[in-house]
Amino acid sequence: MELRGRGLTREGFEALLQRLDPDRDRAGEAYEALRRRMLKFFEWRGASRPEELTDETIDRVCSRIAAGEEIRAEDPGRYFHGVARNVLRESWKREPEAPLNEERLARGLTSPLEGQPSLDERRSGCLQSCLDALPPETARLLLDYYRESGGTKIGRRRDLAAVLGIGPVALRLRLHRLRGRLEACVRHCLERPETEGPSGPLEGEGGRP
Amino acid sequence: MRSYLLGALPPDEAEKLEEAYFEGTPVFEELLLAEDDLIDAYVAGRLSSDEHRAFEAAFLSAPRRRERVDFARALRRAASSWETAARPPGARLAPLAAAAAIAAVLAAGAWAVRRQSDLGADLSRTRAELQALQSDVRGLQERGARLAQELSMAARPVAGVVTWILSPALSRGPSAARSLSLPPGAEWVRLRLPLERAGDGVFEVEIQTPEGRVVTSQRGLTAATSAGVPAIEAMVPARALATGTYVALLRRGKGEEVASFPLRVVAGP
Repeated sequence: MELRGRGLTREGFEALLQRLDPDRDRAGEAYEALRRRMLKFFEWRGASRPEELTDETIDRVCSRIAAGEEIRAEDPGRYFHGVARNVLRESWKREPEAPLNEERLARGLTSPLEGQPSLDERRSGCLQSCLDALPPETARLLLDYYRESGGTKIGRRRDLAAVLGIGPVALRLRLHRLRGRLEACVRHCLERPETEGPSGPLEGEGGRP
Repeated sequence: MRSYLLGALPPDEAEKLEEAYFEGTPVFEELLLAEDDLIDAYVAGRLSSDEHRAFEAAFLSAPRRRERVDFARALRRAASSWETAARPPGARLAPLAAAAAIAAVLAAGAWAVRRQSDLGADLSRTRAELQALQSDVRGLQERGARLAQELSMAARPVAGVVTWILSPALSRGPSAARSLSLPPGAEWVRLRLPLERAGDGVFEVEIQTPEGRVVTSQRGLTAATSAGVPAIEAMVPARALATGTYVALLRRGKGEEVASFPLRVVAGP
Protein backbone atom coordinates (compact mmCIF):
# COMPACT_ATOMS: atom_id res chain seq x y z
CA MET A 1 0.00 0.00 0.00
CA GLU A 2 1.52 3.29 -1.04
CA LEU A 3 1.59 6.22 1.30
CA ARG A 4 0.54 9.30 -0.63
CA GLY A 5 3.20 11.97 -0.30
CA ARG A 6 2.72 15.49 -1.56
CA GLY A 7 3.66 16.83 1.86
CA LEU A 8 0.54 15.41 3.48
CA THR A 9 0.68 15.04 7.25
CA ARG A 10 -1.59 13.63 9.87
CA GLU A 11 -1.72 17.14 11.29
CA GLY A 12 -3.34 18.35 8.07
CA PHE A 13 -5.99 15.65 8.33
CA GLU A 14 -6.60 16.44 11.99
CA ALA A 15 -6.90 20.12 11.13
CA LEU A 16 -9.43 19.26 8.42
CA LEU A 17 -11.54 17.30 10.89
CA GLN A 18 -11.36 20.21 13.31
CA ARG A 19 -12.54 22.59 10.57
CA LEU A 20 -15.47 20.32 9.71
CA ASP A 21 -16.65 20.15 13.32
CA PRO A 22 -15.08 20.72 16.74
CA ASP A 23 -16.73 17.48 17.89
CA ARG A 24 -14.57 14.67 16.56
CA ASP A 25 -17.36 12.18 16.04
CA ARG A 26 -19.51 14.69 14.12
CA ALA A 27 -16.39 15.70 12.18
CA GLY A 28 -15.92 12.06 11.20
CA GLU A 29 -19.50 11.90 9.92
CA ALA A 30 -19.15 15.19 8.05
CA TYR A 31 -15.95 13.87 6.48
CA GLU A 32 -17.71 10.66 5.40
CA ALA A 33 -20.59 12.67 3.89
CA LEU A 34 -18.18 14.90 1.94
CA ARG A 35 -16.16 11.95 0.78
CA ARG A 36 -19.30 10.28 -0.51
CA ARG A 37 -20.31 13.39 -2.46
CA MET A 38 -16.85 13.64 -3.99
CA LEU A 39 -16.85 10.00 -4.98
CA LYS A 40 -20.21 10.37 -6.74
CA PHE A 41 -19.08 13.67 -8.34
CA PHE A 42 -16.14 11.91 -10.00
CA GLU A 43 -18.32 8.94 -10.95
CA TRP A 44 -21.06 11.10 -12.42
CA ARG A 45 -18.48 13.11 -14.33
CA GLY A 46 -17.19 9.92 -15.94
CA ALA A 47 -13.82 9.69 -14.23
CA SER A 48 -12.25 6.27 -14.64
CA ARG A 49 -10.71 6.21 -11.16
CA PRO A 50 -13.14 8.05 -8.87
CA GLU A 51 -11.67 6.69 -5.61
CA GLU A 52 -8.14 7.75 -6.48
CA LEU A 53 -9.30 11.22 -7.52
CA THR A 54 -11.29 11.54 -4.30
CA ASP A 55 -8.18 10.69 -2.29
CA GLU A 56 -6.18 13.13 -4.38
CA THR A 57 -8.69 15.89 -3.63
CA ILE A 58 -8.63 15.21 0.09
CA ASP A 59 -4.81 15.00 0.05
CA ARG A 60 -4.66 18.38 -1.63
CA VAL A 61 -7.06 20.05 0.79
CA CYS A 62 -5.23 18.61 3.79
CA SER A 63 -1.88 19.74 2.41
CA ARG A 64 -3.19 23.26 1.98
CA ILE A 65 -4.59 23.33 5.48
CA ALA A 66 -1.33 21.97 6.88
CA ALA A 67 0.48 24.75 5.01
CA GLY A 68 -1.66 27.33 6.81
CA GLU A 69 -4.38 27.96 4.26
CA GLU A 70 -7.85 28.55 5.70
CA ILE A 71 -11.11 27.26 4.28
CA ARG A 72 -12.91 30.58 4.12
CA ALA A 73 -16.09 29.35 2.48
CA GLU A 74 -18.95 29.14 4.96
CA ASP A 75 -19.66 25.64 3.73
CA PRO A 76 -16.54 23.48 3.36
CA GLY A 77 -18.43 21.58 0.66
CA ARG A 78 -18.06 24.53 -1.68
CA TYR A 79 -14.31 24.58 -1.12
CA PHE A 80 -14.06 20.85 -1.78
CA HIS A 81 -16.11 21.25 -4.94
CA GLY A 82 -13.64 23.80 -6.27
CA VAL A 83 -10.64 21.60 -5.58
CA ALA A 84 -12.39 18.51 -6.96
CA ARG A 85 -13.21 20.33 -10.19
CA ASN A 86 -9.53 21.19 -10.67
CA VAL A 87 -8.46 17.64 -9.89
CA LEU A 88 -10.94 16.36 -12.47
CA ARG A 89 -9.73 18.74 -15.17
CA GLU A 90 -6.11 17.77 -14.49
CA SER A 91 -7.04 14.09 -14.73
CA TRP A 92 -8.65 14.68 -18.13
CA LYS A 93 -5.44 16.25 -19.37
CA ARG A 94 -3.39 13.35 -18.03
CA GLU A 95 -5.65 10.63 -19.40
CA PRO A 96 -8.00 11.67 -22.17
CA GLU A 97 -11.01 9.34 -22.12
CA ALA A 98 -10.86 6.71 -24.83
CA PRO A 99 -13.93 6.52 -27.02
CA LEU A 100 -16.34 3.82 -26.03
CA ASN A 101 -15.99 0.74 -28.10
CA GLU A 102 -17.08 -2.85 -27.94
CA GLU A 103 -13.71 -3.95 -26.66
CA ARG A 104 -13.97 -1.74 -23.60
CA LEU A 105 -17.47 -2.99 -22.92
CA ALA A 106 -16.42 -6.59 -23.32
CA ARG A 107 -13.55 -6.14 -20.84
CA GLY A 108 -16.05 -6.47 -18.07
CA LEU A 109 -17.47 -9.74 -19.34
CA THR A 110 -15.75 -12.91 -18.27
CA SER A 111 -16.49 -16.40 -19.38
CA PRO A 112 -16.77 -18.89 -16.56
CA LEU A 113 -14.38 -21.77 -16.38
CA GLU A 114 -15.91 -25.08 -17.30
CA GLY A 115 -17.88 -26.46 -14.37
CA GLN A 116 -17.74 -23.16 -12.47
CA PRO A 117 -20.84 -21.02 -11.98
CA SER A 118 -20.93 -17.87 -14.06
CA LEU A 119 -20.51 -14.51 -12.37
CA ASP A 120 -24.22 -13.81 -12.92
CA GLU A 121 -25.13 -17.08 -11.21
CA ARG A 122 -22.85 -16.31 -8.30
CA ARG A 123 -24.30 -12.81 -8.06
CA SER A 124 -27.85 -14.17 -7.95
CA GLY A 125 -26.83 -16.65 -5.27
CA CYS A 126 -25.19 -13.92 -3.21
CA LEU A 127 -28.25 -11.69 -3.59
CA GLN A 128 -30.49 -14.46 -2.36
CA SER A 129 -28.24 -15.05 0.66
CA CYS A 130 -28.22 -11.34 1.42
CA LEU A 131 -32.02 -11.16 1.10
CA ASP A 132 -32.33 -14.17 3.41
CA ALA A 133 -30.32 -12.25 6.01
CA LEU A 134 -32.95 -9.49 6.07
CA PRO A 135 -36.08 -9.64 8.22
CA PRO A 136 -38.62 -11.50 6.04
CA GLU A 137 -41.16 -8.68 5.83
CA THR A 138 -38.42 -6.25 4.79
CA ALA A 139 -37.20 -8.56 2.05
CA ARG A 140 -40.78 -9.01 0.80
CA LEU A 141 -41.32 -5.25 0.81
CA LEU A 142 -38.14 -4.71 -1.19
CA LEU A 143 -39.04 -7.35 -3.76
CA ASP A 144 -42.61 -6.05 -4.01
CA TYR A 145 -41.23 -2.55 -4.61
CA TYR A 146 -39.01 -3.72 -7.47
CA ARG A 147 -41.31 -6.16 -9.21
CA GLU A 148 -42.55 -5.16 -12.60
CA SER A 149 -46.10 -6.43 -12.92
CA GLY A 150 -49.25 -6.06 -10.84
CA GLY A 151 -50.63 -2.67 -11.76
CA THR A 152 -48.68 0.49 -12.45
CA LYS A 153 -45.42 0.75 -10.60
CA ILE A 154 -46.15 4.30 -9.47
CA GLY A 155 -49.57 3.34 -8.15
CA ARG A 156 -48.25 0.28 -6.36
CA ARG A 157 -45.42 2.22 -4.74
CA ARG A 158 -47.82 4.94 -3.66
CA ASP A 159 -49.98 2.28 -2.06
CA LEU A 160 -46.94 0.76 -0.31
CA ALA A 161 -46.07 4.15 1.12
CA ALA A 162 -49.65 4.58 2.31
CA VAL A 163 -49.63 1.22 4.08
CA LEU A 164 -46.40 2.18 5.86
CA GLY A 165 -47.72 5.61 6.75
CA ILE A 166 -44.87 7.50 5.08
CA GLY A 167 -44.62 9.69 1.99
CA PRO A 168 -43.50 8.28 -1.38
CA VAL A 169 -40.19 10.18 -1.25
CA ALA A 170 -39.41 8.87 2.23
CA LEU A 171 -40.16 5.34 1.01
CA ARG A 172 -37.84 5.80 -1.97
CA LEU A 173 -35.03 7.07 0.26
CA ARG A 174 -35.33 4.21 2.72
CA LEU A 175 -35.40 1.61 -0.05
CA HIS A 176 -32.45 3.32 -1.73
CA ARG A 177 -30.40 2.92 1.46
CA LEU A 178 -31.53 -0.68 1.80
CA ARG A 179 -30.57 -1.32 -1.81
CA GLY A 180 -27.16 0.21 -1.17
CA ARG A 181 -26.58 -2.11 1.76
CA LEU A 182 -27.65 -5.08 -0.34
CA GLU A 183 -25.25 -4.02 -3.11
CA ALA A 184 -22.41 -3.86 -0.59
CA CYS A 185 -23.41 -7.26 0.82
CA VAL A 186 -23.42 -8.80 -2.65
CA ARG A 187 -20.07 -7.17 -3.46
CA HIS A 188 -18.48 -8.61 -0.31
CA CYS A 189 -20.03 -11.99 -1.06
CA LEU A 190 -18.61 -12.04 -4.58
CA GLU A 191 -15.16 -11.10 -3.29
CA ARG A 192 -15.09 -14.02 -0.90
CA PRO A 193 -14.22 -17.60 -1.81
CA GLU A 194 -17.27 -19.51 -2.96
CA THR A 195 -17.33 -21.66 0.19
CA GLU A 196 -18.16 -18.71 2.40
CA GLY A 197 -21.47 -16.89 2.61
CA PRO A 198 -22.15 -13.17 2.72
CA SER A 199 -20.91 -11.06 5.59
CA GLY A 200 -21.08 -7.46 6.66
CA PRO A 201 -23.57 -5.30 8.47
CA LEU A 202 -26.54 -7.37 7.26
CA GLU A 203 -25.36 -10.32 9.39
CA GLY A 204 -25.36 -10.79 13.15
CA GLU A 205 -22.67 -9.64 15.49
CA GLY A 206 -19.00 -10.16 14.86
CA GLY A 207 -16.72 -11.38 17.58
CA ARG A 208 -14.87 -14.38 18.70
CA PRO A 209 -16.85 -17.59 18.68
CA MET B 1 -31.24 15.15 -13.35
CA ARG B 2 -31.34 12.34 -15.89
CA SER B 3 -29.45 14.56 -18.34
CA TYR B 4 -26.77 15.20 -15.74
CA LEU B 5 -26.40 11.50 -15.01
CA LEU B 6 -26.13 10.75 -18.72
CA GLY B 7 -23.50 13.46 -19.15
CA ALA B 8 -25.80 15.51 -21.35
CA LEU B 9 -26.32 18.61 -19.21
CA PRO B 10 -24.67 21.86 -20.38
CA PRO B 11 -21.51 22.57 -18.32
CA ASP B 12 -22.81 25.67 -16.52
CA GLU B 13 -26.00 23.88 -15.43
CA ALA B 14 -23.99 20.85 -14.34
CA GLU B 15 -21.80 23.09 -12.24
CA LYS B 16 -24.81 24.68 -10.51
CA LEU B 17 -26.18 21.25 -9.71
CA GLU B 18 -22.82 20.18 -8.31
CA GLU B 19 -22.55 23.28 -6.14
CA ALA B 20 -25.96 22.46 -4.73
CA TYR B 21 -25.13 18.88 -3.81
CA PHE B 22 -21.67 19.64 -2.45
CA GLU B 23 -23.28 22.13 -0.08
CA GLY B 24 -25.38 19.40 1.48
CA THR B 25 -28.78 20.26 -0.02
CA PRO B 26 -31.33 17.48 -0.73
CA VAL B 27 -30.21 17.59 -4.39
CA PHE B 28 -27.64 14.90 -3.62
CA GLU B 29 -30.28 12.45 -2.36
CA GLU B 30 -32.50 13.28 -5.33
CA LEU B 31 -29.64 12.46 -7.69
CA LEU B 32 -28.99 9.16 -5.94
CA LEU B 33 -32.66 8.22 -6.36
CA ALA B 34 -32.65 9.37 -9.98
CA GLU B 35 -29.58 7.21 -10.62
CA ASP B 36 -31.38 4.15 -9.20
CA ASP B 37 -34.37 4.88 -11.44
CA LEU B 38 -32.15 5.35 -14.49
CA ILE B 39 -30.34 2.06 -13.93
CA ASP B 40 -33.66 0.27 -13.40
CA ALA B 41 -35.08 1.82 -16.57
CA TYR B 42 -32.05 0.64 -18.53
CA VAL B 43 -32.26 -2.97 -17.35
CA ALA B 44 -36.01 -2.93 -18.04
CA GLY B 45 -35.38 -1.69 -21.59
CA ARG B 46 -37.35 1.51 -21.05
CA LEU B 47 -34.78 4.07 -22.28
CA SER B 48 -35.03 5.77 -25.64
CA SER B 49 -32.35 4.81 -28.14
CA ASP B 50 -30.40 8.05 -27.50
CA GLU B 51 -30.62 7.57 -23.74
CA HIS B 52 -29.64 3.91 -24.14
CA ARG B 53 -26.49 4.88 -26.02
CA ALA B 54 -25.63 7.61 -23.54
CA PHE B 55 -26.24 5.26 -20.61
CA GLU B 56 -23.96 2.55 -22.00
CA ALA B 57 -21.24 5.10 -22.66
CA ALA B 58 -21.50 6.46 -19.11
CA PHE B 59 -22.20 3.34 -17.09
CA LEU B 60 -20.74 0.31 -18.78
CA SER B 61 -17.20 1.56 -19.17
CA ALA B 62 -16.62 2.03 -15.43
CA PRO B 63 -16.27 -1.12 -13.31
CA ARG B 64 -18.14 0.15 -10.25
CA ARG B 65 -21.03 1.51 -12.29
CA ARG B 66 -21.24 -1.70 -14.29
CA GLU B 67 -21.49 -3.60 -11.01
CA ARG B 68 -24.52 -1.50 -10.12
CA VAL B 69 -26.17 -2.38 -13.44
CA ASP B 70 -25.44 -6.07 -12.92
CA PHE B 71 -26.88 -5.86 -9.41
CA ALA B 72 -30.03 -4.17 -10.73
CA ARG B 73 -30.50 -7.01 -13.24
CA ALA B 74 -30.11 -9.60 -10.47
CA LEU B 75 -32.57 -7.69 -8.27
CA ARG B 76 -35.10 -7.52 -11.07
CA ARG B 77 -34.80 -11.27 -11.65
CA ALA B 78 -35.16 -11.94 -7.93
CA ALA B 79 -38.28 -9.75 -7.73
CA SER B 80 -39.77 -11.50 -10.74
CA SER B 81 -39.02 -14.97 -9.30
CA TRP B 82 -40.47 -13.96 -5.94
CA GLU B 83 -43.65 -12.75 -7.56
CA THR B 84 -44.09 -16.00 -9.47
CA ALA B 85 -43.46 -18.10 -6.37
CA ALA B 86 -45.41 -16.09 -3.82
CA ARG B 87 -48.70 -15.42 -5.58
CA PRO B 88 -50.65 -18.62 -6.21
CA PRO B 89 -53.54 -18.47 -8.68
CA GLY B 90 -56.99 -17.81 -7.21
CA ALA B 91 -55.58 -15.83 -4.30
CA ARG B 92 -57.97 -13.56 -2.50
CA LEU B 93 -58.09 -9.90 -3.27
CA ALA B 94 -54.65 -8.22 -3.02
CA PRO B 95 -54.40 -6.65 0.44
CA LEU B 96 -54.46 -3.05 -0.69
CA ALA B 97 -57.30 -3.74 -3.08
CA ALA B 98 -59.18 -5.31 -0.16
CA ALA B 99 -58.86 -2.07 1.80
CA ALA B 100 -60.19 -0.16 -1.19
CA ALA B 101 -63.02 -2.67 -1.59
CA ILE B 102 -64.11 -2.18 2.02
CA ALA B 103 -64.05 1.57 1.61
CA ALA B 104 -66.12 1.29 -1.55
CA VAL B 105 -68.66 -1.02 0.04
CA LEU B 106 -69.01 1.09 3.20
CA ALA B 107 -69.22 4.37 1.28
CA ALA B 108 -71.71 3.19 -1.31
CA GLY B 109 -73.71 0.90 1.01
CA ALA B 110 -75.17 -0.71 -2.07
CA TRP B 111 -76.15 -4.32 -2.27
CA ALA B 112 -77.78 -6.25 -5.08
CA VAL B 113 -81.58 -5.91 -5.22
CA ARG B 114 -83.28 -9.28 -5.01
CA ARG B 115 -86.65 -10.66 -4.24
CA GLN B 116 -87.53 -10.50 -0.55
CA SER B 117 -87.05 -14.24 -0.06
CA ASP B 118 -83.44 -13.98 -1.38
CA LEU B 119 -82.51 -10.76 0.42
CA GLY B 120 -82.06 -12.39 3.82
CA ALA B 121 -79.65 -15.01 2.51
CA ASP B 122 -77.75 -12.43 0.51
CA LEU B 123 -77.50 -10.15 3.54
CA SER B 124 -76.08 -12.88 5.73
CA ARG B 125 -73.56 -13.86 3.12
CA THR B 126 -72.46 -10.25 2.61
CA ARG B 127 -72.13 -9.62 6.34
CA ALA B 128 -69.85 -12.63 6.64
CA GLU B 129 -67.70 -11.41 3.75
CA LEU B 130 -67.56 -7.89 5.25
CA GLN B 131 -66.41 -9.26 8.58
CA ALA B 132 -63.69 -11.24 6.85
CA LEU B 133 -62.55 -8.16 4.94
CA GLN B 134 -62.57 -6.03 8.10
CA SER B 135 -60.38 -8.63 9.73
CA ASP B 136 -58.06 -8.39 6.70
CA VAL B 137 -57.85 -4.61 7.13
CA ARG B 138 -56.92 -4.93 10.79
CA GLY B 139 -54.25 -7.45 9.88
CA LEU B 140 -52.98 -5.08 7.18
CA GLN B 141 -52.72 -2.20 9.60
CA GLU B 142 -50.72 -4.31 12.02
CA ARG B 143 -48.53 -5.56 9.19
CA GLY B 144 -48.01 -2.01 7.99
CA ALA B 145 -46.87 -0.91 11.44
CA ARG B 146 -44.52 -3.89 11.69
CA LEU B 147 -43.12 -3.25 8.21
CA ALA B 148 -42.51 0.38 8.97
CA GLN B 149 -40.55 -0.56 12.05
CA GLU B 150 -38.54 -3.27 10.27
CA LEU B 151 -37.82 -0.99 7.36
CA SER B 152 -36.72 1.77 9.67
CA MET B 153 -34.33 -0.57 11.43
CA ALA B 154 -33.05 -2.27 8.29
CA ALA B 155 -32.57 0.86 6.23
CA ARG B 156 -31.17 3.09 8.89
CA PRO B 157 -29.29 6.01 7.30
CA VAL B 158 -25.62 6.79 7.82
CA ALA B 159 -26.31 8.05 11.35
CA GLY B 160 -26.80 4.38 12.37
CA VAL B 161 -23.08 3.82 11.79
CA VAL B 162 -20.80 5.87 14.05
CA THR B 163 -17.22 6.47 12.99
CA TRP B 164 -14.59 6.72 15.72
CA ILE B 165 -11.03 7.64 14.79
CA LEU B 166 -8.81 6.35 17.58
CA SER B 167 -5.38 7.50 18.70
CA PRO B 168 -2.65 5.05 19.68
CA ALA B 169 -1.71 4.88 23.33
CA LEU B 170 1.46 6.78 24.17
CA SER B 171 1.40 5.05 27.51
CA ARG B 172 -0.75 2.35 28.93
CA GLY B 173 -3.32 3.26 31.49
CA PRO B 174 -6.86 4.52 31.74
CA SER B 175 -5.81 8.17 31.57
CA ALA B 176 -4.81 7.71 27.93
CA ALA B 177 -8.33 6.59 26.90
CA ARG B 178 -10.48 8.76 24.62
CA SER B 179 -14.07 9.19 25.75
CA LEU B 180 -16.54 8.30 23.03
CA SER B 181 -20.29 8.36 23.23
CA LEU B 182 -22.73 6.10 21.42
CA PRO B 183 -25.73 8.05 20.14
CA PRO B 184 -29.14 6.37 20.43
CA GLY B 185 -29.88 4.20 17.44
CA ALA B 186 -26.26 3.51 16.63
CA GLU B 187 -25.99 -0.07 15.43
CA TRP B 188 -22.40 -0.27 14.23
CA VAL B 189 -19.23 1.47 15.15
CA ARG B 190 -16.59 1.95 12.48
CA LEU B 191 -13.25 2.10 14.26
CA ARG B 192 -10.46 3.71 12.30
CA LEU B 193 -7.05 2.83 13.70
CA PRO B 194 -4.31 4.94 12.09
CA LEU B 195 -1.02 3.24 11.34
CA GLU B 196 2.41 4.80 11.62
CA ARG B 197 3.23 3.47 8.20
CA ALA B 198 1.43 1.53 5.55
CA GLY B 199 2.23 -2.13 5.27
CA ASP B 200 1.13 -5.33 3.67
CA GLY B 201 -0.40 -8.16 5.54
CA VAL B 202 -3.58 -9.10 7.24
CA PHE B 203 -4.57 -7.53 10.52
CA GLU B 204 -6.84 -8.35 13.42
CA VAL B 205 -8.57 -5.92 15.76
CA GLU B 206 -9.50 -7.17 19.20
CA ILE B 207 -11.48 -5.12 21.71
CA GLN B 208 -10.63 -6.11 25.29
CA THR B 209 -11.64 -4.98 28.75
CA PRO B 210 -8.81 -3.87 31.05
CA GLU B 211 -8.97 -7.37 32.56
CA GLY B 212 -8.17 -8.92 29.21
CA ARG B 213 -11.64 -10.25 28.35
CA VAL B 214 -12.27 -10.10 24.61
CA VAL B 215 -15.63 -8.49 23.86
CA THR B 216 -15.42 -8.53 20.08
CA SER B 217 -12.90 -8.93 17.31
CA GLN B 218 -12.58 -8.75 13.59
CA ARG B 219 -10.02 -10.56 11.48
CA GLY B 220 -8.90 -10.52 7.91
CA LEU B 221 -8.46 -6.74 7.70
CA THR B 222 -6.10 -4.99 5.35
CA ALA B 223 -4.77 -1.47 5.51
CA ALA B 224 -6.34 1.24 3.39
CA THR B 225 -5.07 4.74 2.86
CA SER B 226 -7.44 7.66 3.17
CA ALA B 227 -6.28 11.25 2.92
CA GLY B 228 -2.76 9.89 2.89
CA VAL B 229 -3.14 8.28 6.30
CA PRO B 230 -2.89 4.50 6.35
CA ALA B 231 -5.37 2.94 8.74
CA ILE B 232 -7.20 -0.21 9.61
CA GLU B 233 -10.97 -0.02 9.70
CA ALA B 234 -13.03 -2.43 11.74
CA MET B 235 -16.80 -2.57 12.03
CA VAL B 236 -17.92 -3.65 15.49
CA PRO B 237 -21.51 -4.01 16.69
CA ALA B 238 -22.50 -1.15 18.98
CA ARG B 239 -24.18 -3.55 21.37
CA ALA B 240 -20.80 -5.13 22.17
CA LEU B 241 -19.61 -1.80 23.63
CA ALA B 242 -21.36 -1.16 26.92
CA THR B 243 -20.20 1.91 28.87
CA GLY B 244 -16.78 1.28 30.24
CA THR B 245 -13.10 1.30 29.42
CA TYR B 246 -11.60 -0.84 26.68
CA VAL B 247 -8.47 -1.19 24.65
CA ALA B 248 -8.46 -1.95 20.93
CA LEU B 249 -5.47 -4.14 20.11
CA LEU B 250 -4.20 -4.16 16.57
CA ARG B 251 -2.36 -7.31 15.62
CA ARG B 252 -0.72 -8.38 12.42
CA GLY B 253 -0.18 -11.85 11.04
CA LYS B 254 0.37 -14.41 13.77
CA GLY B 255 -0.53 -12.23 16.70
CA GLU B 256 2.24 -9.63 16.56
CA GLU B 257 0.83 -6.63 18.41
CA VAL B 258 1.25 -3.50 16.30
CA ALA B 259 -0.45 -0.89 18.47
CA SER B 260 -3.04 -0.42 21.17
CA PHE B 261 -5.77 2.19 21.24
CA PRO B 262 -7.44 2.91 24.57
CA LEU B 263 -11.05 4.04 24.54
CA ARG B 264 -13.77 4.79 27.02
CA VAL B 265 -17.41 4.39 26.04
CA VAL B 266 -19.73 6.80 27.82
CA ALA B 267 -23.51 7.07 27.68
CA GLY B 268 -24.83 8.89 24.62
CA PRO B 269 -26.80 12.14 24.62
